Amino acid sequence: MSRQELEQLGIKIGLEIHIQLTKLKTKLFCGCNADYRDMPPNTYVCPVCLGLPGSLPSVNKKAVEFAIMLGLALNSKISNKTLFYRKNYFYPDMPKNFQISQYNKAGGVPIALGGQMILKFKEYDKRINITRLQLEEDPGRISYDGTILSSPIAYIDYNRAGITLIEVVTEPDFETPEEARIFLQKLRSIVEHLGIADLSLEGSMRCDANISLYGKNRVEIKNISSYKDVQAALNAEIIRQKNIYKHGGEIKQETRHWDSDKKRTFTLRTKEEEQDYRYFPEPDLLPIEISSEMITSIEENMPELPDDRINRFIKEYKLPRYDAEVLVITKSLADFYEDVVKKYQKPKEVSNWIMSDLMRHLNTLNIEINDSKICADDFIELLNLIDKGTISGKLAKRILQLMMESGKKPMEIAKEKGLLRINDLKKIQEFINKVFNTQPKAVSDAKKDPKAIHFLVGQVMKLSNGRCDPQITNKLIKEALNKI
Amino acid sequence: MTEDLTDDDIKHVAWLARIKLESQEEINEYKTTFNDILRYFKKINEIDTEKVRPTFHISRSVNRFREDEIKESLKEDEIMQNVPKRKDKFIVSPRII
Amino acid sequence: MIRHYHTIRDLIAEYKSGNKTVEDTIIETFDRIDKVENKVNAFILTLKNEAIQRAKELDKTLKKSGRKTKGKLFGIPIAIKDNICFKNYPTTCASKMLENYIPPYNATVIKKLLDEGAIIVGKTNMDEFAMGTTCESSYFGVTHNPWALDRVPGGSSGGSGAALASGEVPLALGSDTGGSIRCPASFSGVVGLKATYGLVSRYGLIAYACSLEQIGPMATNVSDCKDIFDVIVGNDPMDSTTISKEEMEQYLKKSFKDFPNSKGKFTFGIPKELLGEGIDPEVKKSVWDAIKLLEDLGGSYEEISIPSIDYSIACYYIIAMAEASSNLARFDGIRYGFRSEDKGNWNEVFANNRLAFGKEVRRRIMLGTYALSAGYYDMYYLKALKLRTLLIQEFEKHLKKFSFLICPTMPILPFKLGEAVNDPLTMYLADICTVPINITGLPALSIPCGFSQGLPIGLQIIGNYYEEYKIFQIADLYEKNAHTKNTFPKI
Repeated sequence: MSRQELEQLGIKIGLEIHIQLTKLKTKLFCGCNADYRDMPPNTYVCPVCLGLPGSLPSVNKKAVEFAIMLGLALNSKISNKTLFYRKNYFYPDMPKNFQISQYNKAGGVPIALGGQMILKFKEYDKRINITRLQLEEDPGRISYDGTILSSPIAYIDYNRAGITLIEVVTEPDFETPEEARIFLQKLRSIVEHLGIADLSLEGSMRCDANISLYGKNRVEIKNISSYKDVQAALNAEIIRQKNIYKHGGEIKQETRHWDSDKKRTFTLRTKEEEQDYRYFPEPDLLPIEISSEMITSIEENMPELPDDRINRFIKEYKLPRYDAEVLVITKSLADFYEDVVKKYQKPKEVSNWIMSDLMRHLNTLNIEINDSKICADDFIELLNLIDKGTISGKLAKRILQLMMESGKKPMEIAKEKGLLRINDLKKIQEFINKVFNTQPKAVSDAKKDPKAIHFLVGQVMKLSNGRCDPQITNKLIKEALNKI
Repeated sequence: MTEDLTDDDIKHVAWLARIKLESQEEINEYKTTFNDILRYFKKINEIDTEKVRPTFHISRSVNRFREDEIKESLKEDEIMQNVPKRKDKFIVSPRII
Repeated sequence: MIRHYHTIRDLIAEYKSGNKTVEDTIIETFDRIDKVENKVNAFILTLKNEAIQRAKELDKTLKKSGRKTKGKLFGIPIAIKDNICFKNYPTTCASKMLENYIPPYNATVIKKLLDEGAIIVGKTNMDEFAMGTTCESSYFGVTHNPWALDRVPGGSSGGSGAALASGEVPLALGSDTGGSIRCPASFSGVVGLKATYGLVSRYGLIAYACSLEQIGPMATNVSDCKDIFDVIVGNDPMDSTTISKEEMEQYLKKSFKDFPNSKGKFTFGIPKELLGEGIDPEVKKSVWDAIKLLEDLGGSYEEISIPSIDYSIACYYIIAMAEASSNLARFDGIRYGFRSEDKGNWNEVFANNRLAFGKEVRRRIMLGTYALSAGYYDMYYLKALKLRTLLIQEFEKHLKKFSFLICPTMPILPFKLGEAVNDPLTMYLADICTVPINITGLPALSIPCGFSQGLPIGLQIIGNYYEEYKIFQIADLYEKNAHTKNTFPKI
């Protein structure tokens, strides 16, 4: 759907994003190792995160500092006093059967309130207002035999229980799914620039979205696992709601789940009951008071944020704003770019290569630069080989693809696949002779019409798999034609 | 002032608290006891607390933190010795729905 | 019974002089336990073999060190309330829910006791999950008051109180959420302290109501009570609500230069709400006798009024039940605890498993859930927290003026067994003198001050925040002059 079409639907979308602070060594309320991925079930658990009777939480100081950093980066107001609350609800992945969180309808103040992010589009800028930021603990993980509906029992792994989450809640300011996606991408970039999380890790950024059309009932969509998914999930839900309204139906206020395989939202048919979380201040944790000195000292040590980096790229590397924005929205890509430019000082050329071929291959492989097999040094070597004329620009594109697939060095691939440029006059002459012998008609055409020479050059390039130096080839063909 | 608790109120609270009710007799008993106790509790509304701030924390200190340093977790047998049902390294719960 | 010493300090001195071995003490202890336990039922678990083993080791280290030890509780048998986690031994909270629960870690206080050489001889009976005033709601049977076996020993730390009174052990730990140390101290005729909130780590104490409770010492005399307190007090990084090291230096360790003053005089207040209507005349008489004695010892008193006390029982039970409803939510039978047959889905099995809780526990969970639920939060829970503020203000005002406040610990003599079981509200009302102390977080000590019909009566000494040592000082003075030290019933 076009933006105009979408506008007519009166879409309002709000997001609740859960971000795991994966750069913390330990969990939010205990000293268990937080690097739980790939660990056998129930390995990183202790009396606290397993909710054993008698255990008590204690707050990870760094988690609080990270949350303040993100709040500052999103222009939020850092609260001078904040409390933890118990959110009482029961689920087998929650060891205590309550979650220590910060939000409370009775008026609790989370670690940061307000804030905004500006999204830049070609035709317009969009301001997204942020409602609040809060710290809370992640539950454990449940797996099933089959699905939640068919499984006769549930398998629980508490390794994830107690991992630090920051929840970012936005106002319902998004009017298109694309805006939501860009927001998430930019949020991710900010988080990664702050160095508080690596969000390429599976399940490290999860999103719930609420969406309404025509100012009518709101539907909440759960289980969106990435910024790529958010657009698909919202599109699917918009179409579903639109169709129901079109046929005179009504949307009921409900919670739906996103199925990323089937690309649709579905409702869990359970006894829908009104949630009563019975929030109250966590008596086992003391209030947190954040002084202006503490904020200042964190502020002074903040790393460069994406918007600043974009401006620096424009200034330092003379890049067009568009290039800078594309690079910086993925921190790992921007890092790669700078690694290359440090040793290969043609910034615009590097940007062209990354934004066209490199990104295309990454998209095809559906991976990120850090997971790809290419490193900055090899990429630099490739660019140097082009400059030296060792390989042609065209062949370099093919070599880049092979580098990303195999992880081999460009020279190695070029040799192995015979893709080195041929400068040797004798060898080029051999190719020319072959073409002249097999294409007499084209030769006589070229004799009459100099423009037809291009065809012969093309034939030589084709025969040599593009390896012959085109200028030399051109020259030698002209000489050969003159001799005829 | 709220009315006395009804059977439905008792059932609702029991469900919220995940406590199974076994008989009507039990519901009646809860109803009588709870209504007595709640009537007594409501006494506190006699006091004017308009300008009083609630005491959320009895300790007057603030900002108690732990450094982000890894501590040893429990060993498998220490965890599993108390687990009623397990499968391999997983802890097993009844079906969710 | 280990009777031939006055305090545990004397006992440690005996060890050092070589007159007695730790093993002798432990054997005497278990002889006594074997003799009276069938009448009293103070213990859920006794650890005879482990205790003797440890005694032998301690004897050996003592010998090796040339009969020197710094352990403040070296070789002293101690009983632990069964809601305090002792690693690798069942910790049940006297509940079917935790009948087979083995904690894989030690409570901080257990570590501290062991570090000072104490010998844990067993886990004591209590009201289920510490919710009670009579020690009758235990899954493992009632505990009897050693002074009158047809009476309750007080609750919830009734097993600890009874074990002390019957001479089974010289020291015990209890926990006090609304009077659970002081009530059994009063009913069983021993000494017990509920310290200022945050002075003793709760890490490893199975929570009933976390903003109200403290683990605390119980003993047969003030000196012993102070010695355990010295061991368990202090900051614990595992419990964020404990006092910091700096605060400890600043507040707890300050000296009381003006107490008693240069002429040996001091002042105390008597809250009329706690010594008037509703207090048993026999109790009143004993407490007035104690007040007169304190006057003779240099004290002068004024009657004062703390009006919010009238609302303190409601305030206390609302807060306690609300917190309990959340604290006890973890007992779903998934990770530990009672698990019924898996009939039905998670929620249904959950609700079924919780039938392993006794009646009173279920009652408090449900009422607490109600008090926090949508539409009632402001009226009950938030209101109670505001009353908490008022009560703190009223107490502080008087404690600035007086060295102590004095009142009975319990308004009545010990209940007969079965008398209050089916009448929760009556039982709650018996907590009138103790709950204000938990609401405000103040320290208070209960000390025997007389008898009526052979039943002990307790005097409650309330001090200002962090003034435990001042309380010990006056309690010690009182004890010496009232001759209440180490009195035991004949059983």
